[in-house]
Amino acid sequence: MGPVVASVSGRRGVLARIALWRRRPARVAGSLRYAFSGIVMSIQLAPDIEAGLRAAAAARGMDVDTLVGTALRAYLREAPASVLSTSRQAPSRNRSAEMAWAANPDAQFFGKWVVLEGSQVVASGSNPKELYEDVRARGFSSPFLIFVSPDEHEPFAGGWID
Amino acid sequence: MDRLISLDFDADLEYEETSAGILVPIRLIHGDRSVELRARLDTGAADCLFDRFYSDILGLADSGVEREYRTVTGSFKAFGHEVTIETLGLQWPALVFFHAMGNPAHAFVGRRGWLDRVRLGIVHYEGRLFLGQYGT
Repeated sequence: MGPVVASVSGRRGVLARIALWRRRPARVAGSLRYAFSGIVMSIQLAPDIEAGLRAAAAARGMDVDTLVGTALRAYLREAPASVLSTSRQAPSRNRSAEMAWAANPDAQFFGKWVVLEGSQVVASGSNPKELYEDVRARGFSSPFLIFVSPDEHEPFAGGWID
Repeated sequence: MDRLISLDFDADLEYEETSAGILVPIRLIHGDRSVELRARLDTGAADCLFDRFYSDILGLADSGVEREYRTVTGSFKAFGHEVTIETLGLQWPALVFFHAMGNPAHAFVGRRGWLDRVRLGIVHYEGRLFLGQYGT
């Protein structure tokens, strides 16, 4: 069965098109996936939720498109603050020393992954996963782990579109 | 006519002017695992993109939300996962992407998942960046 497509309107006009796909057999029950492609939002719902939506729409004599659109509009009206502000302040480490080292790295580490603690290299190598596990075992719970590129100082032009 | 616009920010960063662009410290968190790195601020990038090794480190599955990205020189594939992303003490959940084939030299924070979550001010002449929570 194809997707059920719903248009959702917001303050900027049409915000998203919701596509409800039937669950693929390989997917884990209860999982919810979403992907953004332009202004299209695809949500994969667990089968029980999808069935519930279809039943609720049928009981109201409307299609799922209308039901989802109505429900989302009501949600956005009632909880605008929680929708718009999902960030919070959290304690964090000052990484200015690590950033300064990375801006002018020691050439002996070109082409390697390094773990920095302040301006010191505490581990280096070619396998970042091994480095991560190694320094975690040594007590660095959130290591600053980067690849030291020899091309760092070449002008960069960006260039990926979408 | 002069027009005064007032903006409040929660954090600031003094960055070095380099050919690589404006690089900001980033922390990626998933479950009890977290890793810190630096990423290029790219307003032209649709999403946030990191090397695949970071998804391995965070214990994320190989699969995810698959996306194909176009560039001026070709295309590449990436997989999206929801993680917590932190910058300069601000933290939020976001769908970010990881290179399918690996690209350790380039990490980006782009519009979705980063730029759409913050108020951003840049005084590039002074190498200063200001960041605030959006919606407060």
